[in-house]
Amino acid sequence: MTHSAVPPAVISVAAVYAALVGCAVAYALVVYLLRRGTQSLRTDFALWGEMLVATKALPTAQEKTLRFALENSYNAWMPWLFVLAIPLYGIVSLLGLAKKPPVIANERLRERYHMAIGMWGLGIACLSPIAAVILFAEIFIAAIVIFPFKGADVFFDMTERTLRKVSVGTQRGLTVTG
Amino acid sequence: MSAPEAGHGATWADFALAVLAFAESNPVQFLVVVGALILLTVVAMFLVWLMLPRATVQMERLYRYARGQAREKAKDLFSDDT
Repeated sequence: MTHSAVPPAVISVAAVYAALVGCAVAYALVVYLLRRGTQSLRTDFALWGEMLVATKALPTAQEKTLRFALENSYNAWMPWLFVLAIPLYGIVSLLGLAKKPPVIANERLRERYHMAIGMWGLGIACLSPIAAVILFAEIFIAAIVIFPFKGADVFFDMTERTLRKVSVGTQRGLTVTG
Repeated sequence: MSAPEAGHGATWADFALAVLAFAESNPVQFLVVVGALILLTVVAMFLVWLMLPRATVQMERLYRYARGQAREKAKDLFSDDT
């Protein structure tokens, strides 16, 4: 039996493996810090959302959307569904096939509803940093492509409509688990 | 048969043969390397479990509690009796 040092090939493969494992741990740490950092955002959203639902002043569509959002604040599949749904909605919007969501007549209620949905959106984006980066890139591209034609309102409509579509889809039996 | 060199242009087969040759020539050192990699994997998996599923379940529990509290508060504020 000869005594020899660890072959360079074994060292390099072990080093690559250790680096990959390190990357996985680092990514988990980033996700954990993001989730912990946005925890108060989600609990605030729970308060806003429950208050808005309790007013019983929202149109049925918006109330359903909000209830769905309240149920899925920790669903890690949500940002990925948005990643898939936003380009589709962008195309539908550009073709002029998208219907405007029902308008909330009360201005104060509308602002609060928009704020709550915004909080939810930010909260779920922070559940998955990779999905969030893709999502923001898509929104940036959509801003360049859609904004000149449709105006700024389209962004909120896009988020809300996508959320409603996802909500309806899951209520029809498409199971989404976190 | 000499151990093949797994350098530039080496295939996975060359690498596997180099690993086998290393394991034959120095089994203790080979077990130390493999053991260190297994230990690293177990520690990393534990850390990932601690930071993701376990922490998320706790955060979600807190969220559910906050939501329940908010629902009660909202019920008090907006109930028809008041």
